[in-house]
Amino acid sequence: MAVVHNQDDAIELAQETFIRAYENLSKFESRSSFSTWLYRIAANLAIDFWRREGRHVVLHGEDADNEISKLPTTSGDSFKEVSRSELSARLKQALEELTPEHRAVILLREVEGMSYDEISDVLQCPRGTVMSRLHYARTHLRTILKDVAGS
Amino acid sequence: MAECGEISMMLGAFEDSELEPNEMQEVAFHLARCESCTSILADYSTLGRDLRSIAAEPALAGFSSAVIARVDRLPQPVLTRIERFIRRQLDSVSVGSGIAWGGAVAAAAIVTIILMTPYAQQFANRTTTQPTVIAKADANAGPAANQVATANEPTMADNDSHADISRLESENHSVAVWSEPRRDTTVIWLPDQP
Repeated sequence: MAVVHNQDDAIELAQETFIRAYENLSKFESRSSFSTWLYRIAANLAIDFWRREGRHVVLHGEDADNEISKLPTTSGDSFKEVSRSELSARLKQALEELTPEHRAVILLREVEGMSYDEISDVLQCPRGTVMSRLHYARTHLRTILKDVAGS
Repeated sequence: MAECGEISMMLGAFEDSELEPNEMQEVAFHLARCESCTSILADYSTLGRDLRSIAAEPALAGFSSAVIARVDRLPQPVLTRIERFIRRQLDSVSVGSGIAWGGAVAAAAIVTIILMTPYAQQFANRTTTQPTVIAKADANAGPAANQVATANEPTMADNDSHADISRLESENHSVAVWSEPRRDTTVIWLPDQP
């Protein structure tokens, strides 16, 4: 839900996940758990969906680090004071500004509660990449939310 | 004390308890003395809670039936379609018609067996009783070995030229007789006359 922000799209993607799993069941090789395989299908579908929707800038490696360093530094008050509804709306908007890969990583971690190794398995990328993407996503979201709190 | 820039890279992983023990200790040591990094860590924690709060569970009423309906609409392999057809037929038939179907299938099987038996027997006889001469000439015994078959034209068992000879019958050392009863085969070897 948090990935696509639209219930109909979310349900459609969830259904499509199970359809793909059904169609490709013979390709499941038991190298990972079935749930991880299912998550992988769902994450790939969500990322593809978001790519089709557009509206993001893809940053990798040093580019991502540079972008982080350019973000305005924030300090002082936490963003607790911001009203919940405003925060929720801003958070969803902030998520949309992340790349599909960064968004997938932070949602798998924070919402699904996956370990870094599990995320690495689902997204099929190295653990270090998971860590750097999470760092970028958190820094980016925090900065945006700080700006909201500041304004 | 480690720099804030260095520690800030590890704060998220610290929050997630995904650092090595020595790194966890290093970050904890830094946090005890750095208000700024402690604030960032608190924000990460709040961010996680907020993300969980906006990720509402979708309404899943009718979800599984919708998925099954979509699966049913997928093009099925031929075998699956046949299997489903048979299953539907079996589900729909009553006990009485089931017995009738079973009787019909059994009758068809019996008729088939009756019709096929003579052909099967004929085929079996052709493959097992065809006489064959197996020549197993010893290279040292000389090239002119005469072979005599018990019936029809002698044929070499090309595919089975190494077949074991079960018995050696003859007390006359100048004439050797082998027989292979299972193959209905006899080989008589006459050495060249001097």
